[in-house]
Amino acid sequence: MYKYLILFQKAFIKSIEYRTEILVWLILDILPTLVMLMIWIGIYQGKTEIGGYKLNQMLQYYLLAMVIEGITASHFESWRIDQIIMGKIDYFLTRPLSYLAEVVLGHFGGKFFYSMVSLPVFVLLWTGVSLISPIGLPHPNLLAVFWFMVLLILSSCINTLIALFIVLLGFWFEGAQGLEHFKWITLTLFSGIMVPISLMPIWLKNIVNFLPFKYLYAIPISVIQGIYQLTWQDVIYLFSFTGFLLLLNLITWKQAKYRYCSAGG
Amino acid sequence: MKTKIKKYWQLFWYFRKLQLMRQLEYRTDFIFWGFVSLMWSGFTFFFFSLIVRVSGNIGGWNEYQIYLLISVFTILDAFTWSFFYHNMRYYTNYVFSGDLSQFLTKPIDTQFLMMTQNNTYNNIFRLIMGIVMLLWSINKLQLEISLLSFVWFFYTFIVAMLFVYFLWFCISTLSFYVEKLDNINDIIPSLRQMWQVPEEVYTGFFSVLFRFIIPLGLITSIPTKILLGQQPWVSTIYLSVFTVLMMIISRIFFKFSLRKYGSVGN
Repeated sequence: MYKYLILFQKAFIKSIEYRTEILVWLILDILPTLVMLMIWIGIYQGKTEIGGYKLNQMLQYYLLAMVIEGITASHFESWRIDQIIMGKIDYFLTRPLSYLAEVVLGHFGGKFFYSMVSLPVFVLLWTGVSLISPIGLPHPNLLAVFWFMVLLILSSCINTLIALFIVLLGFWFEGAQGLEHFKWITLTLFSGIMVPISLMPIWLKNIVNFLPFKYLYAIPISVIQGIYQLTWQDVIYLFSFTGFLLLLNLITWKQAKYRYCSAGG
Repeated sequence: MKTKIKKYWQLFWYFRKLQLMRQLEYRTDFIFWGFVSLMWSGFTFFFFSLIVRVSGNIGGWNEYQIYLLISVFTILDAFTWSFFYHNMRYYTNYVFSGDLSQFLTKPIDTQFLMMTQNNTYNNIFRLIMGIVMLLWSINKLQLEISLLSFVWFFYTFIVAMLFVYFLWFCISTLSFYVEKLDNINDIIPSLRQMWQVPEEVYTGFFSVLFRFIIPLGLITSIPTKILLGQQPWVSTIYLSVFTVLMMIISRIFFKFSLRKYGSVGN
């Protein structure tokens, strides 16, 4: 257990080392959201409600989406795949350290530092936006806050497991980096980060409701805004999906390590 | 001077030929990344169609006017990803790794060499999609484009492209001053959203910021407005002057930053 704590710590310290990079990531997370807010402020001129959302709820939606993305999204696919393709993971295969644990804990260690830095900035941004537009704050009850936190943790796990699966495909496909783009498009389309589900056309709404990706953004935001109440069916579905992804990764890893070869080191 | 220009012109096209040969070596890669770029462009159109569907307009621009703007954006994006991104990525990597030394010793302008030697052809599909959507939107809006309008459009498009390039080059040059910054080249791609929407979207403080101080909001709006039959003379002149200034600043900044550069070996 101790060695895994060290892996987490190592990633955390490395993030501090590259703090300028963290600052840039923060800017990159904030800018697109700001543009979206400006678009929606413009759209709402002369309108009080669109798709059941008032302006302040819509602005809250995109700011919450930004916060959730900042905390839960994963970006490690490309360089990890490069490592595999270049034959640079021998170190983890010849030592009593799990490569999967290294990838996952490495990601969470970095994410932990990023969250610590970004959350105060997000609060400041929220305050800044409230000066331009009366955005307000959602008023969730204690249960909603609890479920929101659970959803955040599961969302983070799902994001990581999907990214890990793409990394493992790097053992088979040279162009696995491109799969990261498929992931982003799929998540953007079907998770509700693009627009709230109620604004989607019927056909897209049906697909979104069928797939589990709505639990990454749309549902957590709706829960904290008090628009949606999580049911036990949701929880079971979400845990099953996370379990399925975990199993998929373990099975893939079992096959993948036999495909790996490198010379020298 | 004439010989010098000829030499640089020939070099430019020689690099293009080399890159094409390299691209043809990895044909599957070409098709795969071509498909990815096409998917992102299709996604952009879909995203804005969703927003326009619920709102009726964006910044006072109707559905087809927005498609026209997104078409211009897509064409610009094709150049951004094929040309700028790869050269900037190599540029910053050379600075971080110390490989820049090999360019400093060549009898060719370093900036030219670093900014022209790489490109990909993966985004050809994106370019085609942008052009097709542009023609489709023009047809839907029943616009009649005169030769003068087209020349003006072409001019502003080139100016907008150069503005993006010089701004990106300035940001990438910051790599001389930081230890290692892998995502420095993600800043401009992230800023692209600023010119994905009409300039009228920006109001109040943001209007001053993105239409005047850093005129990112004008990049696609000006060429699109010309196609729509409007005459944004003031904005065109402003963006042109700003681009020339950016060119001068980026050059001076690069020359100045070179003094900070140091490497061992190579």
